[in-house]
Amino acid sequence: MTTAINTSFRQFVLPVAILLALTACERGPVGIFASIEQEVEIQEGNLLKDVAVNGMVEADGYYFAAVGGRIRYRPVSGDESDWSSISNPSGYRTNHSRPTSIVHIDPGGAGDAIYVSFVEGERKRSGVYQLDPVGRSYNAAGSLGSGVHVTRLFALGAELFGSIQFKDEDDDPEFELWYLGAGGGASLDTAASISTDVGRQARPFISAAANGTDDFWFITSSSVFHTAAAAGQLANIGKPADIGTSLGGIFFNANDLYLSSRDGRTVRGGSTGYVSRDAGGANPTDPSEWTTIITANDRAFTEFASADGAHFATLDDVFDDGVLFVGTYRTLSGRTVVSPGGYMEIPGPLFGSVRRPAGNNYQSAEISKAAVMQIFIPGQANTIFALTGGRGLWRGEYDSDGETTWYWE
Amino acid sequence: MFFSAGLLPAQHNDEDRPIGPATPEAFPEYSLGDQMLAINLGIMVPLFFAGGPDGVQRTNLSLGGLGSLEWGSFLNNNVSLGIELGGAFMFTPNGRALFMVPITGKLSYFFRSYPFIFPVFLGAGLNISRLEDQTKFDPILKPGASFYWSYNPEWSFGVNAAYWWVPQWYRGPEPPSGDSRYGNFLEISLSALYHF
Repeated sequence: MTTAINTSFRQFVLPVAILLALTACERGPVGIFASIEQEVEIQEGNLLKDVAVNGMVEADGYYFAAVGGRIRYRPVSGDESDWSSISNPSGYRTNHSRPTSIVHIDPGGAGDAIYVSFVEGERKRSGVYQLDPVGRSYNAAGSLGSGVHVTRLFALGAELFGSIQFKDEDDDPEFELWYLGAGGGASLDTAASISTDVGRQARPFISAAANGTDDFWFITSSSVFHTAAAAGQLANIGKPADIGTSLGGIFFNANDLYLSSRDGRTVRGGSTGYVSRDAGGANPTDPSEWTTIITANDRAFTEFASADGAHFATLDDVFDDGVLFVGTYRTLSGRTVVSPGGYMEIPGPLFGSVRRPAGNNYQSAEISKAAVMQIFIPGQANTIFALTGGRGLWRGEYDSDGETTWYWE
Repeated sequence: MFFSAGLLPAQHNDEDRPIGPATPEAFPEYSLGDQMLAINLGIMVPLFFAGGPDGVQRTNLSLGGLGSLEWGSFLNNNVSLGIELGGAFMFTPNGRALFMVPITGKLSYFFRSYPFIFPVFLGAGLNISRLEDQTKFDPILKPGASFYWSYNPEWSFGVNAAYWWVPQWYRGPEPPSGDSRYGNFLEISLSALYHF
C-alpha cells in the first residue's frame, strides 16, 4: 500500500503541486473575477454594430455619423436608441454604396457646411455632397468621375481637402491629395491636385492637421507632407528618425504638432506605439524637430482628438489641463493579441505620457478591444464618441472620478 | 497510462454473459488497484465573490454548464485517490464567456448502503480561468459529495454536488492586488461511474 501511495504521489500529487506553482502567472490589466464582479451591462442603441464608422459631426442640435452604408443622425438631446438614417443621394443607393467620410467645415463661420463623400463600388463612382442638417438632404458639390474615389475628406479650418484614389483595372491603386476649396461654396473644385510635386502615393492620405495660420500637414501611413498654403503644393518633409514604420495620425494641439505611429512588426512584442511631438511647430518642414515623447509596448496608434479642461469641468482634477485622446488598432499575430485596441488618454499639461482609460467599465466593454480609428468630441460635456473600424459607434460618459460609462450607440 | 494491464479488475465475470443489475450478493468489494472512471455533466451555479473592497458581492455571472472526466484508483474498499479534469463556462452581463478548467487531485471516501454509494471527496489542484484575452492560473479546492445508485457491479449512476473555491490572488501592479477575489461556485452534475 505504501508503494501505491508513493506511486500516486509521484504521478499525480507532484504534478499538481508543480502546476500550482504556475499560479504566479497572470496577465491583463484587471483581475478576472474583479472585472466580472464590477461589470455593468452595456446599453445598446439602434445603430448597426458590426460596421465601420467613417466620421461624425454635430450640427443644429443633431449628431450625424457615417455608419455603414448611410449617414445616420439623432438629436443631441436624445439617446442611443434615437438614430435614423438619411437616404443616400441618387446613384449611391446600391448595396455597394457607402459614405467614406463626413466633415463639418468652418463650424459657426461664414463657410459653415457639412460635406459627405460617397463611393459606389460597383460602378466606381464617387461624389462629394453638401448635407443640409435641417432638411437632411444632399446637394451635389462635385462629381469626381469614374475610376476615382474619395477615400476621405479633411476639413481644416475653412478649407476642404480630399484623399483621392485612382484605380485602373490592372494597376495597384494610387492616391493624390486634392484641395477642394473653401467651405460653403456652391461647387467644389474637383480637379485641383496639390500633390503633383510629390507624385501619386501608393497609400491613401489618412490624417491631416493645421495650425490655424498657414501650415497644413497630411500623412499617408508612410510619409509626412506639408504645405504652407491650402492651394499650394505638398512637400514630403520626412518622418521623425525614431518613430515606427507605419504612421497613424497627425494633430495640432496647443501650439504643438503630434504624430502617432506603430512599428510594422506583427510578432509578439512588436507593434510598439509611438507619439512624437514637434514643440511649437517650430520648423514644420524639419523632421529633426520631432521628439518621441511616448513609446508604448503592444500599442498601434491611430488618430488623435483633444478636449480642454472645460469639457470635463465636472470631473475631479482628472483632465483640468486638457487631454489628448489617441485611438489604437487591434492587431493579432495568429491568435495572440499584439495590440488590444481601444483608445488611450494623454493628459495635460505635459501631454507626455499615455494611459489606459480608468475603470472596469471600459475594460469589460467591447470598445476596449475594437479598432478605434477616430474619436469625436461633441459639445456635450464629459462625453466622447469612439468611431471603430468595424464594431460600430460608442459613446463614453466620464464620471467625476474619470471612469466612463459606455453606450453602444 | 491509467489502464495498466497489471492492475486487477474489480470483477471477474464470464465474458459471454451480460452483467445484470446488482444484487446484494454481487455488491463488490474494492481493493488496492481497483479503478474507476466517471463522466460528469451538469450545471455551474455562480455563488459569490469575496475578498474585494466591498466584501461579498454577486458574481454577475449567468448559470453555466460544466463537464468533467475523472479517474480514480482504490486504496482500499472505502478510499480512492484520483484525478479529475473539468471544464465550466458562464457568461457575464455583456456576454463575455468565463471559462474555468480545473485539474485536481481527488481523495474520496465511500459510504455504502446497498444499492447506493455515498462518496464524499475533496479535490485540490489548479484552476485555469480564461476571460477573453486574459488567462489566470489559480489554486482550487473542491469539497463535495455524490449519491450513486449501483446498476450493476460495473456501472453506477448518480449526482454530484461540489463546492468550487477559487482564490484568485494578484500581486500588482497590474492587475492590482486590490483585484484579488475568492470565487465561490456550486457544481451540480449527473454522473456515470464505471468500475474496472
